[in-house]
Amino acid sequence: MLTVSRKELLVLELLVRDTQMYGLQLVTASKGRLKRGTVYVTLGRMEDKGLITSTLDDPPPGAGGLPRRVYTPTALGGRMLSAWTSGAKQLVPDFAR
Amino acid sequence: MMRPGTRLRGISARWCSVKTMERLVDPALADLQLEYESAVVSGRKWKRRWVWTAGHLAFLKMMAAHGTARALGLLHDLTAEDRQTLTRTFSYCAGIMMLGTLLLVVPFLDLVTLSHPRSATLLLYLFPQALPLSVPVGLTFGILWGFGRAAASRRSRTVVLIVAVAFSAVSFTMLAWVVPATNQAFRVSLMGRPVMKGINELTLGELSQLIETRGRDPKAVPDSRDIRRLALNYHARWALAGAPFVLSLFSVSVTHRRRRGRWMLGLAGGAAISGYYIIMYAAKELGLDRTVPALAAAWAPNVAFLLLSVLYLAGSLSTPVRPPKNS
Repeated sequence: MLTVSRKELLVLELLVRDTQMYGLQLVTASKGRLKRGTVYVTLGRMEDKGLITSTLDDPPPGAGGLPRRVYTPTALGGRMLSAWTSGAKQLVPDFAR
Repeated sequence: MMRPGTRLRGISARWCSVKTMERLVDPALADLQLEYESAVVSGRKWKRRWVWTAGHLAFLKMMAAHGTARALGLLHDLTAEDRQTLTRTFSYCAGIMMLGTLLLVVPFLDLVTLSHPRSATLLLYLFPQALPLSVPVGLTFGILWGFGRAAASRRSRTVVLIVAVAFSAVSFTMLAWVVPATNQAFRVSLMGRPVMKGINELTLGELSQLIETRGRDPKAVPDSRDIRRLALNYHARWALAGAPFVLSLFSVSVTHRRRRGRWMLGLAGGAAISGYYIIMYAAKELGLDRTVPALAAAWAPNVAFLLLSVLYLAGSLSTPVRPPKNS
């Protein structure tokens, strides 16, 4: 069974909103909820689960610089997020909405 | 000028898989380089240093998180055979540790007379000082007997070495703080009045402070061997905490590919433990006589067994797997 952690849901939310983002952008956009020391561990685990996919950006100008990796949600990731969001909405009582 | 993270990438490439490099190392270092580049362009020296430090710390944190996740994942990947080997190994380890602890406590039992009002508490105080000695003995024999008769997989060996590292951390805590505290509590309970602390009753911090104080004024020390004894005790606590890992690594290397009978493995274990303590006491004497520095004297048994492990591993990799000679 595919399970998704809170951090993974947050990443999916941000990626679905902005279509594609870099790791560091995700850290900034999460307002402290994602840490730069662990964001790539989370992203790697999500790629293994098939929730997101990544591609290499163009290498930076100048010799020897490493290209950045850009992350995009997969169809499965999108479905997972909407399933969780609709499920969560059903669990929240009317007065709390 | 070399970009930040270039050397770190080179080191990581030696140890990490291609997937780890692509998914973790390269993206994290790309971020570091990008931020560093923009700090250089902005011309702010402190910003540049901050980016360098924060980037490297984040990298270390990421690798630690990845390592932990891998170690936990390893437990899920264990086969039934691995579990059987590990259960056998850890059962031997636990049994020998318990037996060793009891044997080390027995000589002090005559101090704890049953008529003493706190005899049960006094008995409890005796156990912590035995553990840093019985743990490496238990691990050595446990691994030799658990791994020596059937081929242990790489996963099993990794699990055992991770457990050995954990035991080293526990030993360090015991040697640095728990043993000094329980030793002192034992002495005070036994005497029924406050007693001055001896070297073995000082915590690692207190010992370090005492060495520093006496080092500043050597004339105040009546016996010059005293300061060397303090330094040796300090370094020996660090070194002895490494014994569970070093002796486990030695046992893993001995059983890496060669299969041996139970008696041979028992003899190897006995020789390893005796060898370790003989080197430890011989080096201690050399350290007291100033023939070798205290640090070198304390770490001599660990260094010797690390070298032996490497030699064994190199030797076993060049020979084919052999079945045990007797059962």
